[in-house]
Amino acid sequence: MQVQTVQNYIDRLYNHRADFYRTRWRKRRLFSELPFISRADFIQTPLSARRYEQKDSLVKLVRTNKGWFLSEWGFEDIGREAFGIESRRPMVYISDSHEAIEKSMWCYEHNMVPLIGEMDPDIAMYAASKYQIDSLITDENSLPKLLPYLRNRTEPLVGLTILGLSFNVETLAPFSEYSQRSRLVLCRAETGAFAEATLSPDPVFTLLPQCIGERAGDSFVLTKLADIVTPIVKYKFEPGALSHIPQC
Amino acid sequence: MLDREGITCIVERTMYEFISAPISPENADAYRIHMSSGTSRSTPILTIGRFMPASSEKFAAVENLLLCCGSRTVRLSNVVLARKSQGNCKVLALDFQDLSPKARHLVDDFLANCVSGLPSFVARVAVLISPSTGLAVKTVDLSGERLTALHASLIRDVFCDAKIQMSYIAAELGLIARSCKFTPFNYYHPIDDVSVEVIDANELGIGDLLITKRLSPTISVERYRIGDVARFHNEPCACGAVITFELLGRSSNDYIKVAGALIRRDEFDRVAALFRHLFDDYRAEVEEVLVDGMLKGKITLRVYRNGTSPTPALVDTLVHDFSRQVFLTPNQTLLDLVEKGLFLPLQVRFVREAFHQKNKDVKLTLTV
Repeated sequence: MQVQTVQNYIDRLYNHRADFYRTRWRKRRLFSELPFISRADFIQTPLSARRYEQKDSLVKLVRTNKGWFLSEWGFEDIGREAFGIESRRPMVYISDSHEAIEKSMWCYEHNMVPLIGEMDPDIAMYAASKYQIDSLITDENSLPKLLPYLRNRTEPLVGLTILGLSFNVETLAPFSEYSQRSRLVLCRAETGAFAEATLSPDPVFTLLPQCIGERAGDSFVLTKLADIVTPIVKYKFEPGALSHIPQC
Repeated sequence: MLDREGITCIVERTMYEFISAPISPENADAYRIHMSSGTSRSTPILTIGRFMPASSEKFAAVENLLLCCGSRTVRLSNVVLARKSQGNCKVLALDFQDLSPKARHLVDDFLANCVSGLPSFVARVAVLISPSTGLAVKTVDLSGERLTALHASLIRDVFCDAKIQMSYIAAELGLIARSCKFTPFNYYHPIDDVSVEVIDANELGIGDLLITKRLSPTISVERYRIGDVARFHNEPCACGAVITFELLGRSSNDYIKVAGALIRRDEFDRVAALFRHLFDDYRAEVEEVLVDGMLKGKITLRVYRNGTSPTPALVDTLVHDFSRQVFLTPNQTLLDLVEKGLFLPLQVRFVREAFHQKNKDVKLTLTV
């Protein structure tokens, strides 16, 4: 069933008006034979040339040291990502502004009014206290800045989600005491979330629904069977980009 | 009359009502959270409020919306409004870190037909993008600060085919007033259910602005001293509005926002105290200038030193050391911002005569 679904998906992309994948696949149509793409393909190709869906969407500007590019996500597609845990008063505290906006919109798509944290930690902690947050979506660099606030809470958070590609679990594991449920989510700006694990000293990442993972040497390759604006098919991460490879 | 302490109590009560509600709101996207900047020695104010019913029309018929908002909470609110508008609206919410030539081809590719945000931020984007991209913009929506002549000129030049409209919004109150197609820049008409007063007016009619507005079915704000100065214009507007006021800026000289930075008097006082062995008093003039097509901040520090004249070496030392010490953002000094090309190097001028103390002892001045 999965093979059939994948092939249908590939055929639809091949026959689409947008030619981002068709120019790379040339005559290849079998999933197993398709070439890899990478972040460089996103950097080199304007967003307008890799847009496969027209929908209400958020466009993010992704800044990398290899170049900048745009990544577009439909609001409903954002809602389908596994960015957070349901709660009443979530806070999003992420260093990159575009990612912070996106994860805040995830909250709205789940009918939650989020507090988006300004980067100054003192102001963020002040706001968290005033709003009486009950969950947190954050990244590895930002989370430690909130430690004074987390320490002073009288109750644990309902949920803590840490997003990123690389996690120092030794540093992060102690934060699990501040939340009933703590998870690590592997995600990237242009791929969205693709695997998750419970925060622990030895996390085991499992692929999220609709995600297909493969190993290619030292690299991880991702395909997402989702009708998102720029589909992810055979997306190869740079060697060493992920600190933890999901179970494939 | 309501001051900042009073409004803080009111917004905290609003927040408390929201948090204490037994169930989550039916429609989360009816609500937005805003944070005031907490300038001028006061703590920030966190407010929760409902979007006005008509606000979902703000970006109606907008296909590609480019947001240039200063704070993240305002940025998010506008993304939510774009989401609520009818039609396929794509929104790109820029951050100050995106203001680089590296973003030019991306902003061109996005091809906005509406730009919305802070005048200073929009002006910076205007100098960044290509002329054809500017021509595609049909609406420029400005709010959050006074529009200076420099910014107005840059915005008009680049977005030459756009209708320019202005809104007067406060984090703690939401929308207060709007411009119309007949009003000059920085002139506004209060929206329905808002009334405005000007008190303690000087001979030019310029005084402190008071706002009265209903925030919710149970909470209203009466005669809130918002911290801005304004004056009324009595001539009826061609649009039919009977009340027009001109917004002239902040009443306090304790801080100035320019070039994405916050020049705070208390910070300048702190650093000046470190150099009391070099000078006795100072005044700072702040402005934004166009250099090689880029908007940059410029600070001129005029210092008075009682006694011997300064040597060139002393001036150089002061330029470097003062710049290295004074913070213009939570984490960046003037020197950092000079190295990033956002500010010109500090100008230091020694004056021969002591400064005269005026009302409120104005130490920071914005040159427009």
